[in-house]
Amino acid sequence: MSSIRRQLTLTLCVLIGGILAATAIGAYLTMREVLLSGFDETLAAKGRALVTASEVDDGDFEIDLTVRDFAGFGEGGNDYFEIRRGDGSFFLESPSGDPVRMIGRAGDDIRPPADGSWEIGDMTLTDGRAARYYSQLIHPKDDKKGRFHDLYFIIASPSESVSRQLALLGLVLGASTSLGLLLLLPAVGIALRRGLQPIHRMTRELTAFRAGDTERRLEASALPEELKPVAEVLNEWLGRLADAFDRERRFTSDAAHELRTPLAEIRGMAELAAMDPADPATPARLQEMVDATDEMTTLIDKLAILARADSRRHVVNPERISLQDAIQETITRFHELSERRGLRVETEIAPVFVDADPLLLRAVLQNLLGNAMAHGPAGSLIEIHGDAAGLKVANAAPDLLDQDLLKLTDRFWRKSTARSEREHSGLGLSIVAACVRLHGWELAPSLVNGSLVMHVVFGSSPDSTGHAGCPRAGGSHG
Amino acid sequence: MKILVVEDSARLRDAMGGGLTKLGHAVDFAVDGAEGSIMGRHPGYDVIVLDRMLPDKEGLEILRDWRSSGIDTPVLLLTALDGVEERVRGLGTGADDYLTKPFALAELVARLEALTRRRYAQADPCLRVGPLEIDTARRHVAVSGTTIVLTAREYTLLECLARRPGHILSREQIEERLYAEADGPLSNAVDAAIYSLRRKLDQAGAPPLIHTRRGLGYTLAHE
Repeated sequence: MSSIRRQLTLTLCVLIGGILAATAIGAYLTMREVLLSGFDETLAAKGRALVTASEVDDGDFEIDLTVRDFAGFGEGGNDYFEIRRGDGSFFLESPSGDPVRMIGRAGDDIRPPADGSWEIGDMTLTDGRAARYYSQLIHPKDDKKGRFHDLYFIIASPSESVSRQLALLGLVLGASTSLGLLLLLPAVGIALRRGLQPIHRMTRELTAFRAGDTERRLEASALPEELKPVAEVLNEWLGRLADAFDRERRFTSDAAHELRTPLAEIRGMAELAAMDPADPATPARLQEMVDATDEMTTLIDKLAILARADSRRHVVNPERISLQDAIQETITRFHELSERRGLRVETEIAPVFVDADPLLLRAVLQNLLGNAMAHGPAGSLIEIHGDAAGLKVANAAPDLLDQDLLKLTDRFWRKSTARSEREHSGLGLSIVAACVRLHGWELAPSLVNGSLVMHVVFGSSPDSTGHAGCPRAGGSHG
Repeated sequence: MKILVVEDSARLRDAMGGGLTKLGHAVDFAVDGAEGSIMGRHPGYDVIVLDRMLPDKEGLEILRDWRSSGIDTPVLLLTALDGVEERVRGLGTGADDYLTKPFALAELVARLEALTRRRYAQADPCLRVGPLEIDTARRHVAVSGTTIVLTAREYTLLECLARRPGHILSREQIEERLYAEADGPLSNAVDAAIYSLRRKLDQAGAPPLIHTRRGLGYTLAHE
């Protein structure tokens, strides 16, 4: 994966470098324009002064010498002019051009605009120097006979001073831009490193988390705004992970706990039998060991169901099952228990079918009914109601409290803390909840007038043929 | 030893009771918290085995009640909860020892005997009275180096007397330590056991060590 810092450094360097270069070029061009236009304005002012200073006196063409010398066209001056006829032939030049015509052939192609305005442009003097020229028609004062009506000026001024200034400006701008570009890379790198410090700190903080350190969280309040949401999401996930770890740890601990007592029983009885094999009680103790082993096997089977359900490895194979038949079969299975405890069972079951996995539905019914018959007071009433919308199993539960409803499907939860009654593992309703969840059904336990009502809500309403649609989820008490 | 076992699992009660009885200890049982709470207040027990999870009342709650009432009988907590925090909590409540299920009967017995020794301020597992030497750890008895083979009940009687040399123990006190409540011993059971023990000690060449104090009881002393 690419580095954010490297990418940002590159992007910022290109952007800032581009801006620096563009600014330098813009500054150069602006200054060039300012210098040239100033130069041209001066040149034009000189030209206009010469045009104004031209006159015909006694039939001869003259230029006011004061103006000429003041404008720098006198002897030794640095500016030059030539006056030419309309056909381009030489007429007069400035004293500053002697003895060589500084404009000469270079001015052959220059013609002033016919409308009386002027033209300014680049040219090269005969000595090779770059210059700017100004050209304009002349209408000398007092040229009453019109002998000089076709004359025009070509005024030239060497532009080397402007070029030098521009070269110096270009050098300064180029050097400062280059230096800026050179410093840009480390500067951007340092700035980004400082800017990305919070990410590094967060990474270090996360790296320092130890496995099992489930209570630790990122200090989101100390982070910049941009990282706060990340830290909060991470903290939320850490919280969920901690809950999951905690559940796993509790489950593992509870499972180990549940297995320790029967193991202690088996070990104790085995040691006792080994101590005195001839003891008349030994055969009974051996049978007790077998019974304890069976109970452990049942517990492990239940744990395996829950583990499979949790890992979603249990594949639901739905079949169309008669709800009446399934419930009746379960009631028959618990007939002996209900007889022994003097329980009355009342049923109201509609002749509907549900789409359910037969094994899972059996687990739901056996645990719901088994739970009701084991925990309902002797001689009490068990009510079973079933239709296409759901299934309800109700039993008197005088000791159960509203707050107990939240724990009913917790694994290994029992109303009493005693573990003597090994047949009640505290897993029955957890299994019901898991099976119901696998079907996509819903389990809704409630306390109504001192009775516990376990309501399994099937997922969809019955179709026109009297079938319950494929159900969606379910739950229990133990 | 006279032991009270407070345990709701019938199988564990049977296993522990059977094992301890075979070793000559008198064992009484309580099957739930309420019964255990009352029985544990009786001063006749040398040590109590208390399960942590009981019907009606938590083992730790019972223990807390005992300790706040001044009951100082050594208590070994028996539990399936094996976390460090659980052990610390149990010991902090006043338990003298902590044993996690499953456990070996031999370890249970060894821990109970260690608790009893500690109770009677006896660090050395060997009790010595004159030429008589009793190794309570190995349950081995010898007189001047000669081993004496005793039944479990005879051993318990001898150990009971040897733990308080010179002290007179009444017949009822001895009965209490030798027999569980459920045993209902015959009226002359203690006398018969004393007679049998004296005979074996005598056969091993020991001087008279067990003395009868008429109307009071018995004492073990090297006079």
